[in-house]
Amino acid sequence: MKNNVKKRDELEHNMVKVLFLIEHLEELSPWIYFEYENSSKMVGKNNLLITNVKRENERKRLSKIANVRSESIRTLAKTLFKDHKIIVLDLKAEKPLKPNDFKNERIILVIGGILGGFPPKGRTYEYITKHLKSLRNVIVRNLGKEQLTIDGSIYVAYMVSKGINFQELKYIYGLRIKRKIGYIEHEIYLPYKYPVIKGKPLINDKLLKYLLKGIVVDELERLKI
Amino acid sequence: MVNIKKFFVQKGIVKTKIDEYLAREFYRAGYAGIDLLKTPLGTRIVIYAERPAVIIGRRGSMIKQLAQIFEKRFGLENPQITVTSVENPYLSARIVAFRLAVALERGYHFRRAAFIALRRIMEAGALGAEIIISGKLTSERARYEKYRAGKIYRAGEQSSIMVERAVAHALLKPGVYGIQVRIVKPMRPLDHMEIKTPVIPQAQQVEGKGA
Repeated sequence: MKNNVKKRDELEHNMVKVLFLIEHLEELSPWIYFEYENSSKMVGKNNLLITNVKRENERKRLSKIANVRSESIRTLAKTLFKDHKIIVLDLKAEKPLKPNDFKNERIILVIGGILGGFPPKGRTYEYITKHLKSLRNVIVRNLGKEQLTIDGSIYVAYMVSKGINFQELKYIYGLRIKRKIGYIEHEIYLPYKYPVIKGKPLINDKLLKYLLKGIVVDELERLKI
Repeated sequence: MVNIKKFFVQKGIVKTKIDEYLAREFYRAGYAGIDLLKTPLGTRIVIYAERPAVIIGRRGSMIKQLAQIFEKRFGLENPQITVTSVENPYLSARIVAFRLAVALERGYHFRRAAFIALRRIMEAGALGAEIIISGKLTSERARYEKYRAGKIYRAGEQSSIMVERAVAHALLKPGVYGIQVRIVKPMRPLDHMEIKTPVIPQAQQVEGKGA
């Protein structure tokens, strides 16, 4: 334990600021926005960069929670960030992310801004990793075999950058949200890995409300069925 | 000599193949299932459907086509087809699953469709029902939503007798939605126990205190 703390302190001393970069690859839906917003709350607006935001209205909305650029990381890796070390987080990567990966360099941590399917289709590899892996300043790492959410992976990567191995953190695998509407039991199951903070899974409260909200459910509740 | 095991397995395979074929072709007609009966004259096929008219076709044209397909593709001898309507469509898991798939393909909100179906199943007298819809619902992150009412048997003898399960798929723009329906039919379970209140024989009149 003492050694761990010592190691952590050493790393923190040597460490430079990490820029968390989300490559936006989908339309801006409420779900994805809530995950971005949660990420921004964790690492701060200035430490979060969202790239590949082509639409003007999306750029306007996202600029409230992060720095936004219309270029993709594919081009930025060769131009603006060519002197930085780029870590791409990908489920398909062979090696896990370790605190040592954050040593002594200017670091950009890239996360795919995709709402994943289940089972995962490997789109982060398809859209990001495949195009970057040949560059000299890029390394590819995973955070375990299970799929994390965007804010979840940012939290885990942030903790790793602080010197904690991701295996040391607590997780729950699959989140069940249950409630009762009249005599009908309604259950929503999200088949992803969620880090647990103070006994609670990391999920934006607004997202929970959004998931439970729905025209039909509201109607039923009003009718008291 | 015919291998008995092989004979019955083969029979089961043919029945499943026909069932899958009809489910694929007639899911909009509310196809519910088949019965295959071997008779001295040939094979009798009873098709259960919500709307038999669609399967029969104009002047029985579809039935004639089906008889040919059964004979040539599935090797049935002299098939005689009967199409029967289902008494209560909301107690057939397959019909409900197919109806939900059609509703989703037509653009109904998945929650509205599921809630309505569940309520109708319960109103039809089912002991319990469960509907699971999975996929990229509302084109976002993949998840599944479960709606349950009443009592569901999941294992044991009861489930094989009382529970009907069906799976249907709806192909939409964000991908394939999976629909699973479980209905517990209204019947008395095998382990049904009833505690009867003992019949107290009319108490003999106790003679009055004063007597």
